[in-house]
Amino acid sequence: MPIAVTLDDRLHDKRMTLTELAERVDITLANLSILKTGKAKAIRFSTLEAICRELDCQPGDLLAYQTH
Amino acid sequence: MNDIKSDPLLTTARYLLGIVMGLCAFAGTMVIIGLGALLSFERDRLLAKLAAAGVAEGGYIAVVAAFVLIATMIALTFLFLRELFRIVQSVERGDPFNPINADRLRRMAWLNLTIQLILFMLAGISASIGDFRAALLAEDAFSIATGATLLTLVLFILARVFRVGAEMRAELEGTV
Repeated sequence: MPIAVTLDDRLHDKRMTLTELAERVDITLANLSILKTGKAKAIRFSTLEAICRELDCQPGDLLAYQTH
Repeated sequence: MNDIKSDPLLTTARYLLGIVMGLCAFAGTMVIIGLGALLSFERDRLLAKLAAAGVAEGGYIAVVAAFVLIATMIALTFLFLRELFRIVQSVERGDPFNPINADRLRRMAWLNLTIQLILFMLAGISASIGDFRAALLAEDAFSIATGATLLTLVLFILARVFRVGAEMRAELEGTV
């Protein structure tokens, strides 16, 4: 998929683990892991909002469009 | 995924369906045993009874055909109930909207339609024999037909609804 999820980088910047983020945004670790590994087919605005809130970033900081 | 294992309606439905399926299996076995008897040691007695009742010559064949149709109808009813039982189980597992259930509903619609056709054939046989229950059976068959036709239609529509539901669910899979 040409959309890459850069959640791992943001987590690294914030020194936060995926488990910690999962607890904060009230999303299962399994689902967050699907998002992190780029296996998700879609993302809810509510999920995006919660992640942006907790990581203090913009949606564009989490997603990137790759041409190849 | 919703887990609704404790739903009393579903549990009751499952038990009731199990009981009715058991009754169907029992009735089917009895009809087959009866058919066997009619074809062997009870044949002469039936022929005598039919002759005494003034039934036309083909009466014996008609009675045997009726037994075969009844056995088939019971078998189809059993299959119909088994499909319904499996749908109930899938709901209990919290996974009702899947293509398998859509196929089950479509099969149920065809089964119901076939059962209805058999009922018509039975009514015709009864009328041809002209026995004491012929008129009653024919009348019952026609009164059942309206409801059964509607049920067939509902099942075909539900099958389509489930298929669309399954597609919608598939679209949602992978959404976080």
